[in-house]
Amino acid sequence: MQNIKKQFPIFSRPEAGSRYGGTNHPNMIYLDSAATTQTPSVVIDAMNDYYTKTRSNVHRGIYDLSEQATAAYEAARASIAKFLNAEREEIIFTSGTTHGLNLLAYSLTPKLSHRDNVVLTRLEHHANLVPWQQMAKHYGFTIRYIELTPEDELDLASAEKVIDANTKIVSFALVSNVLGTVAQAKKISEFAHARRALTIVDAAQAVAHLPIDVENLDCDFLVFSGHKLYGPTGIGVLYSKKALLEESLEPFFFGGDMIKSVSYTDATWAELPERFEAGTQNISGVIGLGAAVEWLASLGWDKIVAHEREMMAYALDKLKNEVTIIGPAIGHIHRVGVIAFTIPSIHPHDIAEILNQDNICIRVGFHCAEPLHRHLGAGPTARASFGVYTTKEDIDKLVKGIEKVKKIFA
Amino acid sequence: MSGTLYHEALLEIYKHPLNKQVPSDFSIQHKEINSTCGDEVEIFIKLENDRVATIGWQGSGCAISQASASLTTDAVKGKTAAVIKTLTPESVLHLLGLPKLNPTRLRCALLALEALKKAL
Ligand SMILES: Cc1ncc(COP(=O)(O)O)c(C=O)c1O
Repeated sequence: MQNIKKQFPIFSRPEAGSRYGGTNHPNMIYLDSAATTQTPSVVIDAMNDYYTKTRSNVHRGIYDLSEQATAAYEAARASIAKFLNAEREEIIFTSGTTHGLNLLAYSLTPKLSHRDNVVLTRLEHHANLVPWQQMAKHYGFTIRYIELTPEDELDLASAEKVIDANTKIVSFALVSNVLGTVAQAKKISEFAHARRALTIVDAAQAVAHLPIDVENLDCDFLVFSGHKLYGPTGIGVLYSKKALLEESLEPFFFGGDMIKSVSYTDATWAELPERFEAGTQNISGVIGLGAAVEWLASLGWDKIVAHEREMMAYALDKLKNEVTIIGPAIGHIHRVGVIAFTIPSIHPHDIAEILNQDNICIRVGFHCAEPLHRHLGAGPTARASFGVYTTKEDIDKLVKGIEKVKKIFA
Repeated sequence: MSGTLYHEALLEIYKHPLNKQVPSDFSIQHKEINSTCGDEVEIFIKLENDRVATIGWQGSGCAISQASASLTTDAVKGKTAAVIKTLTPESVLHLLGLPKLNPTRLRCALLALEALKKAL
C-alpha cells in the first residue's frame, strides 16, 4: 500500500485557483474512513467519463450513446456481482445501506404478527435498528437482541438461544462500526436457517476491509454503501438470493423501467433485477461504484488485509497506554477498521477539536449506535478509523495529537 | 480561530465549575440535550419578584458547553426573565472569551442559554 495516497486527489498538492473554493489536503491525517472513505482518481475518472462521453439514460435509447451508457452501467453490475461472488440478477442498486435496510424492513415485515420475532444484536447501527422498531409498532412483532461476550464479540450461545421457531428475520452487522469486531456470520446464518428465518447482513463496515463471498456467508440479503469502499456517495447495493427476489420480495418502488406492460388497471413486472430498480437510477454512481470494486480487487485482498492488520496492531499498541479503548484491544481478536476510545475526564468533542487544529480528522459522538454506547455504560466516544491509505505516520500524528490534548487539559 | 478556543480561563472554569449543584429550593427546571454530541445541561431556578434569586445546574459534556453553563448561570443572577430572554449569542461568546465559532461548536456554547430561555 506504499504511496497509495497518490491515487487520491484529495491528498494531492493544491492546484492553483480551484474553481469551487475548496482546496486539496496533502497534510491531512484522515482517520474517519468508517464515516466515509476518500475517492481514488479511477473512480472520479469513470464518473467523469460517463458525464463527458456517454451521458444518456440507460435501458431506454436506441441510439449508440444510450447503448454505451447501458453497457457501462451493466458492466458495473457485473463487476459488483463478481466482487460479492453473486449473480448479476442478484445485485440491486439502492442509495446506500440505510435505503437497503429500510427497503427490507418495509418489504419483509407486513406478514409478521405478534407471535413472531426479529433478531438483531446489541451493536447495531441505527440504520439496522430504527426501521425494525418502527415496523414492530405497525405489525406487533417483537425484537430480540443477540448479546455480546465479555470481549464484546457477538455471543453465539446467545444467538442460538434468541433465534427460535418464531424468528422470521435475523439482521446483523458483519463488522461493528464502534467495536470493529467481526460477526461469525456463517454460524448465525446456520442458526437462522435451521429455524427457517431469513438473514440480512449489514456489510457497511466490512466491505472495504474484508473479502465478501455471499455464497460462503450463506446470507439471504446483504447491504452496503458505495461511499464506504472508495466509491461515490448516494449509491449502494442490496444483494438478494435470486429465489427470494423471484418468490418472496415484491417490488418496493413502482414506476418506469421496472414494468413489462402497463394498462389503466394493472401492470406486470420486468425481469430481474430491473423489477427492483424503478425510475432513472444513479447512473454515474453505479459506474463509479463498479470502478471502485474493480480497483479495490486489483489491489489484492491479501495485501489490503495484511496492511490494515498491521496498522490496527500498530495503533492499538501505541494507543493502549494513552487512551481507554472501547471493545477488544487484545491481539487475538480480529478488529477491523475502527478504534473507538475515551480519555478520562476529557470530552470526546474537545479531543476532536484539538486534533482538528493539527489537521487530524476523527469522529466523535455515538457513531449512530447510541444504544450500544448505553449498553456498554459509555458516554460519547472518539473514533479513529482506517483505510488502505492509512500509514504509521498518520497513527504517530494521532498519538502526538492525543498527547497534546492531555497536556491542554492537564 | 480554534487556536484560542481552549484558553486558560475557560479551562479553569471547566475544571472548577460555578453554580454546579441542584439548589435545595427551586421552582423551575429544564434540561437541554445537544443530540449531535450528547452534551447535557439542566438548569434549576428559583425566582423571587420575577428575578433569579437562586440558580444551579447539572450536566456533562465538552469543555465549551460546561464552561458556558457556569458563566451563563452566573451572569443571570438577579436578572429578570424579560432581560434574560434578550440575551444574545454574542453576549455568551463574549462571556466565554471566544471568537466566532463554527455552527457545531456554537451549539455547545449556547446550550446553557437555550436551556435558560426555555426554562423561563
Ligand atoms: C454498520 C453500519 N450500518 C449502516 C450504516 C449506514 O450507512 P449509510 O449512511 O451509508 O446508509 C453505517 C454507516 O455509518 C454503518 O457503519
